[in-house]
Amino acid sequence: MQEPSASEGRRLNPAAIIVWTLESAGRFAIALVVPLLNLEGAFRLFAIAAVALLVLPSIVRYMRFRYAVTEDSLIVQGGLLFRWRRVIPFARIQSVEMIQKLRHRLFDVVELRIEAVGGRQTEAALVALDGVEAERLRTVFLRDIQAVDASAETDEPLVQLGIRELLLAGATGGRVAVIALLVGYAQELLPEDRLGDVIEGVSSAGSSGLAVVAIFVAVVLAISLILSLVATVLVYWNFTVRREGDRLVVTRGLIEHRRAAVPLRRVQAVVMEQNLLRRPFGLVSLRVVLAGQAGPDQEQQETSMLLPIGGLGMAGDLAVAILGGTAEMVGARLVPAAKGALLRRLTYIAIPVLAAVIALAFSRSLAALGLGLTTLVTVHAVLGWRSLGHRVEDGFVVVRSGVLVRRTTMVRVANIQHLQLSVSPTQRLYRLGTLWLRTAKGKPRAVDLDRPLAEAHFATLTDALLRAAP
Amino acid sequence: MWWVVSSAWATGALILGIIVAVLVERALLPVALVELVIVSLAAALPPLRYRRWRYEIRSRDLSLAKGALFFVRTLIPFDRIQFVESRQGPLDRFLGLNQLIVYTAAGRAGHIPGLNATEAGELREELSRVAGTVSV
Repeated sequence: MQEPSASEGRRLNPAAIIVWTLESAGRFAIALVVPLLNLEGAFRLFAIAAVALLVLPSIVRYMRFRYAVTEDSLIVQGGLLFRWRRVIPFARIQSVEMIQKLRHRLFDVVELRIEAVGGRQTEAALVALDGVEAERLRTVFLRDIQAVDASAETDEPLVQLGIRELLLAGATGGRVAVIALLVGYAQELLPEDRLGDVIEGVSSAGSSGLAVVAIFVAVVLAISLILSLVATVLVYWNFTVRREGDRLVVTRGLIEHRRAAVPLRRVQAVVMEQNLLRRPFGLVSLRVVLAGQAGPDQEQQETSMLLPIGGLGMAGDLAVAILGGTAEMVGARLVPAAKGALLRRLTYIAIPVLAAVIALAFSRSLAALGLGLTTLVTVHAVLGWRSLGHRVEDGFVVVRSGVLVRRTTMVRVANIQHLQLSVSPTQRLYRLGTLWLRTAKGKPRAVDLDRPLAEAHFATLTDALLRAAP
Repeated sequence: MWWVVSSAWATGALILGIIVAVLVERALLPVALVELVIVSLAAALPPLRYRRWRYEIRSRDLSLAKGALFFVRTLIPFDRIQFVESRQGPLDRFLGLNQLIVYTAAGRAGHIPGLNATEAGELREELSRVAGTVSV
């Protein structure tokens, strides 16, 4: 039988050249454009040569890449020295992602990424296609699953965020990273010796100096707020989640338009997160932990977010849509940690307290600092203890922990691969234990349960595991 | 197996002590005291760990328990086992022992050290046979 070939197949849109160039050497290419315009003579030639060198591989790639669609499969081939060809039967195609990043937008093209059943990475990527062609191909590839798609498209989206919600998300989102970035940048501007002068100037100026510091801090916070707002709005613009058969389709983005499909059967756990700012308002964000994720790591982070911000009710409905179960499962009260757990945490703190007391004998200021820190640590420990909670019921396990960011993880019992109960020496002292729910990705655990309770859960889950199908 | 492991640890500690003592020429007494502590620990811990060690193959799962100071109990349903690996470190080889490691989709689930060749072979066969079979 003759091997299928795409030699008479189509080429991509010529914009592919630019897309590939920007993808592989984007930063270099951009950095060279400026010298290209400014420099003269030999340098200019050099810059031109460099840009040409960067673009050349993409030109060759464009010339050699071809794709063809047969009765039941997609064929892609390419390569000059090392020729390759890949035949992907439609039956194997699990999802087709449409991506339009900024570089695609510039030329009004779309990228199609095809993912196959059981594959760990994108099987084929058609990097630049006309919008019309992309739609046509997508329809053809998904025609086996098309029936389900068509009916599901008419359903109400599970999640749809407007600009108000996005601003709220940006305003209440974690800004530590942004602030750290700003502080780092500020340090770049102020060289070491100048910093010393600045500090001296501030402390000698007395109260007015403090005012300057206060203003500076306020400015940093304001800038970080604005940056956070802008970033959130751009990344999550028109965030929508729809259910299509056995997948959840997430679309978002203003400059970079993204459409991702989350296969429900790969979901290992659903995590609800609440930072300090959001807790009083009952706002949470929800993401999923996926096994065998395709795509590079940064994209993973963004793809797993299913609800950047929302009320507990919306999050609950979404969790039920993903994991099954009932709404009660989400809202149900969690069993708090045992009192012994608090004692155990305080035991650890006893050591620094002792050290602070000893330091008191030597230096007043040091002891004061030590006690201050100890108070902070104690408060953190108590809050941490209070945030602990768990619940084992109806084929689900829910665990909660975290002080600054409260994290509630929901796991289907069926997803548990193996079960562990650990007891550390201090836990043994207070008759405690930690239950580990080992899943294909992530390690959710219920910390510091009463030992008898932990053993009971262990037994219950053992029964449930042995009964449930994998 | 424990006594072998314990003697290995003790030997190791002694050698370390001798090396240290040779390097630190004076202050022989404190070094000797530290040595004593290390050696007694090395001698005491392995038998304790051995006694705590359990593994049980039940009708539908594998149950393990280990740890003197840090106790860990593990339960691995047969149908979650992905594969079984057998391993032999240099010490194991010297003593003619084998170690079996059981993997699930969540990674390393548990290990059973100190098996002799036949035991290891049989166990691995058995586990590979029941691995992935639906327990229902």
